[in-house]
Amino acid sequence: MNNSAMSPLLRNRIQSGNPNANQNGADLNYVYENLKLRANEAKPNEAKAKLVNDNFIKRQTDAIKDTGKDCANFVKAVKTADVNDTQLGRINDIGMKVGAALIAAFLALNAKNKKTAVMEFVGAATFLTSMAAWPKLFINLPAKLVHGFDIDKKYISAQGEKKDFFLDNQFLPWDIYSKEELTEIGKNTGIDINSPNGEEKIKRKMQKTALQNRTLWMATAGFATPLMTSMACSVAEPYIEKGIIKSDFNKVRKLTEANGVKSYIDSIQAKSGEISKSQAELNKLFEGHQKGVLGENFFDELASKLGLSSLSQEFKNADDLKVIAEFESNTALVDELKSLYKNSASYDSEDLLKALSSLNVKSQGMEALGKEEIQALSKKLGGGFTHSQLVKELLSLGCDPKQVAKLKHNSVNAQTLFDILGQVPLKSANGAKTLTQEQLKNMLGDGPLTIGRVRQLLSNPAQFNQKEVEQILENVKVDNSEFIETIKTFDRELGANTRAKVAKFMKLVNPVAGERSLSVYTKEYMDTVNTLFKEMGLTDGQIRALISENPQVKVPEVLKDFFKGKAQNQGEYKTFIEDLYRKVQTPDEVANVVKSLTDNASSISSDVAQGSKFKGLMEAMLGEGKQSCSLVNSIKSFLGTGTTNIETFKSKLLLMSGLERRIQSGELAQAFKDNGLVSEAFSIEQLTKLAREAIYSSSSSNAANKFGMPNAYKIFRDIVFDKNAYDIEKGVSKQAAEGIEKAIEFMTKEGSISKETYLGASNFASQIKTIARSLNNNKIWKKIFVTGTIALAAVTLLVQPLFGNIKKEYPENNKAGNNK
Amino acid sequence: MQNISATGMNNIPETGYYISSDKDKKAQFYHTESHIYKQGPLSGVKVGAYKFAKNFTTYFPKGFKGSKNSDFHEFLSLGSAASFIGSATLIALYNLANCKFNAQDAKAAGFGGKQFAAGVILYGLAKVITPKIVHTALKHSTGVNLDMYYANKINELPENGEEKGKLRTQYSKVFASKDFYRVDLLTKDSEMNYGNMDAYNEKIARKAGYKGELKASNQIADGKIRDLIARATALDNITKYIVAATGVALGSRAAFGNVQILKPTSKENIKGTFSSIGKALKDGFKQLWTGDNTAHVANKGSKLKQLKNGKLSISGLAENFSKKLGNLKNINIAESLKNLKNINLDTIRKHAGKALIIASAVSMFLNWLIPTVKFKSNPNTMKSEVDKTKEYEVS
Repeated sequence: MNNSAMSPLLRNRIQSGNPNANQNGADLNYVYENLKLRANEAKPNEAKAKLVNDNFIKRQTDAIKDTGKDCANFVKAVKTADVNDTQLGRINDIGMKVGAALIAAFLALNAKNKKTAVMEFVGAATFLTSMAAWPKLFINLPAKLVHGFDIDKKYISAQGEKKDFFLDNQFLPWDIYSKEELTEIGKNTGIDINSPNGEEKIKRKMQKTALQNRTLWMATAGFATPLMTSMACSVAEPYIEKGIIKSDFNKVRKLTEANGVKSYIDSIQAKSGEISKSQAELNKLFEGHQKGVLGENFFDELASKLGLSSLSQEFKNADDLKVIAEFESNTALVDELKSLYKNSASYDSEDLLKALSSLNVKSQGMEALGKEEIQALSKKLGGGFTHSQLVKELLSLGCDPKQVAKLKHNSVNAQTLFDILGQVPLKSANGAKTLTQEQLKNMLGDGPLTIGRVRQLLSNPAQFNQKEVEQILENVKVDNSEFIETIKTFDRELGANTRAKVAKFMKLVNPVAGERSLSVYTKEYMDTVNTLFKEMGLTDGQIRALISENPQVKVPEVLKDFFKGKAQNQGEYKTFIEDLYRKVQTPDEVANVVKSLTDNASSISSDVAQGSKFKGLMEAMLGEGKQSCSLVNSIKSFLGTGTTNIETFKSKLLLMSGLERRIQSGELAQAFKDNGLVSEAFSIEQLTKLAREAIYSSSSSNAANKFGMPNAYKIFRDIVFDKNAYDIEKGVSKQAAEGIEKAIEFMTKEGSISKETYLGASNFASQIKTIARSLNNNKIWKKIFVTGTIALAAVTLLVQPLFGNIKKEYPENNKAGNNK
Repeated sequence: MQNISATGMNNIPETGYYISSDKDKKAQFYHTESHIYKQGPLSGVKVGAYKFAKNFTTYFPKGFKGSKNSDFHEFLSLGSAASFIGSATLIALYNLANCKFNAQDAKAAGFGGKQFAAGVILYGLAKVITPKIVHTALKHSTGVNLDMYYANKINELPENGEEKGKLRTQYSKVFASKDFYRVDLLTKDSEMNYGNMDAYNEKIARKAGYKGELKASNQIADGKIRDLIARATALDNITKYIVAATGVALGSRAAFGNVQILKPTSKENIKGTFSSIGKALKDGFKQLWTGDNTAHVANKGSKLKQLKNGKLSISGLAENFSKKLGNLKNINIAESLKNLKNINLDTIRKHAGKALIIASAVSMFLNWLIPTVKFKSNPNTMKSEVDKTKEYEVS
């Protein structure tokens, strides 16, 4: 062996333990012995990396731990930048979770109702879950079953990072897999490790299968994740809706069962923040109006700040009571405020007198001479004077000659001048004059100089020019402080609390009887129709036909056929209606809750003592006394109408079946004949058709007023809606009887008979079509996307056995058993 | 010596003559070797389009065939294709079935569907555009273009049954990895186009604040670049999701339900579609800021238009402005802090949009600021005297 082939470093190393080393060359013997000794031990360095073998639960806990590690790595990256690429890549996951949380939170804040808000979070969670679950369930699991090994095997690298084994197709650290594991996998896939190229074939098969499966994952993930999310959410939604409605209702029910509504509402106080906010708003409003008369427009603004219209924001999402809408321009409150102002704000007396001294008095007729004039005259005339002298002077002063002539001929002296001339009207009053301070004081009197009183005193248009009065009074200093104090005190002690009470009361009403929010009643409508459809057993085609029926058609065919068919089977009829009504009837607890709420509606208004100045404001705010509909009554009628609507809706089922029964038994025809309604123009069939229209869709057609006979329509209506003719249906239960009577009452409310009208509303046929439409839309959506999901899952599963085919790459041993 | 690369026989020209001029040499080099090419403002878009097309023509087929030539870059590219398909599926879930509903329901469903589609699209756009904006700012402050692409030429192994492997081009980012950024390509590019191996490193060192003669600018630049990549990537990954969430919030505004998508059959229709989208963006942003979400946006017109119409006067504007200034004086911080404890859901709802927009702006700013500040901070590692008590390891 040539010594120069060995590098000095290697030589040095080999010689390091050699006692016989010399300078010239390596001790070759020593080298060979060394190598011979260690020949069997020559092996590569031990792999520091290890495969990860864990179970499902450990994987979930590890996922949580990993998220924590990622957050720590993020902080480390920003602070010291001491992270590697894998750790940097994993920070993306945190970002995605942060983004999902922000999106869900924002959309839930702006959601229409509680159910939508909850669904936002459910959707975000299912989205992130199905991103991970789709490959695990539909790709990795089938691959393991078909090919016998884990596609998503993880390992911990020498640097301590957990990585996917098959992440990079061109970097597979095979030395982590021990030979035993590879043999096991080879057995599962039918490749013998001891056959020629056995190990290589197993590795190639694993690589190819993994690559193909990961590509499949990338191809299907885009479709699968949204589809699976929407499937999961559409399954979960009805349960969540039911849960929310039930829990909200239970809260109200607990309160009513303990008779706690009144004490609950009484105990409601406005939060200090609300009070300070409204006080600040009032302060802002009154800014700059401490002095000076408040104009007419001011009170509109004040009423809107003080009254219930500030609650209209809150009620936008819930049901909107008509009264709240009216309160946006509450004239009663405005009037009350104006009258309160008139009686509490007073003019500054000095300022008023000063201002009024320039007021011109429109006096007519004659007036007496003024004190100064008489004094001047007396001075001029001196101690004694004759009557003619007096007359001359008086005429020169401009006195009316007629009046002067009326003076007595006795000579007058200075003493009596005042007594006579001061009382006698001698001058004609052309043109206006102003009042003296004394006159003004007399006129104003002793009472308080409130705006109302002063205005009233000056309100004689014969005496004062009203426009001038207004102009003058506008500029008089008015002390508004008392009024402002009153308003602020009212708002602080009563107004804010009343608003809070009304808001809280509506929060009790809406979960039960709300018409536009999630409530027990809206759910009852849907449930009733769903039950009916289930009983009818409609096919998809029939539902489509029902929806697309001409709106002119008043009696849906499928409804009529259903009830007609049931009515024909007389034996089972009673059981049928009992069964049907039992399925849809309102539970007792709902009725009790509604009754309790109705009884306690007056608790929203606080008791105010009779003489208190706040009483008027309080009444005006809630509309009692002054307006025809007060808020309390409006709430009561809202609850009442809601209940009536749902009860009549449900008892329509009984009425419809009852009508068919009467038609079937011929009783209706007999009644028509007995009352003389049958004529040439109106045969029994036509009358029956009109009767059906009246019951099914609560409408009367304009053919009705061609009956010809006087009062004929009323007779017709009384026959169809005869309370005593539905005794069989009423006998189903007490609730059913009440419902039917209410329904008949409701549907026979007087309405105009000249055109097509809806008798007391509640058009069952159109309501059922609306609900059918939404059910149908759901079905259409499901048909498209459930089919899509199933197709995707099927394709994903069916492709699996096609993967991992290495026959073409190893064609030499194409015997059975060596290749797959 | 001929320029035969070690990996294969791909460089031998088929025509049989060899390269004589420098320009041809360069062209041949660019054809067969990985290199950094000249970037423009649309480079990112071009690369994205290239990858998008390649996904469906090349990467998916190769993956399904189980080819040995599929690598990690292709897998990541497939990931972005999956995102795109996911977005399209999400939009379809809310819009596809609507045409089968009856007219009234279709209109109502279409309103919500358009909002959802706007949210999805804005989410995707924000995720892509936000890093680009931040990286442009970082390029100006640090000299490192984190979005620099290079053409990666890969000689593939021959597929099963083929004689020759193909020459594949991939476009990757130079600074994609922190541990292994392509310093070799940067060196080559500096040498070829600037005549000096360290031109790039010097620029970075200068931006980092080093003055005077730089004897080992590559050592300085290396550490700075790696730190910058780590910090910028980490912050990017959070910022882009915050901005994306703001995009979704914007898309959920009622203004987007009013977007009219007309059939692109005529020029007016296309213009009309774009103008309605533009209007929706403007109105939606206003609605997001003010927290109002009514479907009908009262359009008073811009202030300029109002001045022209006489609905607003200059004196009115001035009065308004002075009133706002006056209000600023009256802000009582103590009172507003006191009011903080009275926050309820309504106030949060009103200000949530504002909060998201401000959070996006702040996080984008921090995304630029933190890496820049750390980039420019120069700890003085050169000590004049060796600390005799400390142990050093010499490797």
